[in-house]
Amino acid sequence: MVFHREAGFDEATFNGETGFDGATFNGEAGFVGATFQGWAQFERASFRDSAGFPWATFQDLAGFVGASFQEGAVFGGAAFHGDAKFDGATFQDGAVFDVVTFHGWARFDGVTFQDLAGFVGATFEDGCGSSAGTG
Amino acid sequence: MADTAVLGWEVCAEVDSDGLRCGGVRLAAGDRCLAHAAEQDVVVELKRLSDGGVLDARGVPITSRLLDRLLDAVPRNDNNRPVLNAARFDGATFQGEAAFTSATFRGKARFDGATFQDWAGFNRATFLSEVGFDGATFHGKAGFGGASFRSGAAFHWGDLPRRGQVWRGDLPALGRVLRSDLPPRGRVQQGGLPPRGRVR
Repeated sequence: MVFHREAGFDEATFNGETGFDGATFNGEAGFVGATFQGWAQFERASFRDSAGFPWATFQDLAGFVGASFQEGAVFGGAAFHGDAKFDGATFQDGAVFDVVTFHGWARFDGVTFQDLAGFVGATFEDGCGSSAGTG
Repeated sequence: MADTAVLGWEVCAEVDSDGLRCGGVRLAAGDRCLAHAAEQDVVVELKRLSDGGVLDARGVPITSRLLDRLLDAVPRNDNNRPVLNAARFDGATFQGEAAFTSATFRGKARFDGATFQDWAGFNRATFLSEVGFDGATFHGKAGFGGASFRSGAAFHWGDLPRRGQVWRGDLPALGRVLRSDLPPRGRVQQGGLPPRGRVR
């Protein structure tokens, strides 16, 4: 799956399992206010332009393991009701997790933040695992 | 060269000027696909679709005009938007804009390996069953704003054979989260977030 230009999923609702594993987004990717009722898998997805998940809701597992964010990544205001796995993800530009709520386990093991990462006002209700490295 | 054994469906007998055979699936009548069939065969197919039949356009090169004809043929909902049962667009190529805006897919919808050469519009579309875009390629903007995926949705990477093609347009609510929405470097702050519900 390759999106060569903008991909907009704003306010989309995914009731079942959703897989964007390995997908490539060459343009802006927008998931503003999207709702994922089942698993949402973005493992090894490549976001080569800005990626926006502000106010998105993940009711189950959100998997961004090994994902690559080459431009800004915005998760501000998102709610993760299941586990959120960002293990091994790479953020080459700013990453915004402001006022994000992690109701489940938030895993950031091996994450690379090469620029600033903001978690202002973020809430971790169940715990957070991180051995993140920064560039 | 399209090959029935490789693609898994009976391919169209159309051969272009370069000697390449069309990869579109044959209609029940004749030996051509929707794009190359005789008009009377297309009319029969459209009638079948209007009766709620499965739309099978695997591997078919689909122009905007052809897609319009297909969507005009299928039943409509109360909002006068197309309602498709199972739809097979595996490996299809949408050569112009592909406007599925507000369409409803009642059965499984497969776009695996499809190529969208122009705008792909699925804004406010409803997928009641599984939908697959594995290995699809979107060369134009892709709009799924407000879409509803009631069952599984697959957008995985894939390497399915590519044939066929779709459209462009002024997508609403696309790419609302832009680089410019990001807080300035070094000043990540709550106020920098786009407000909830800005996308409508």
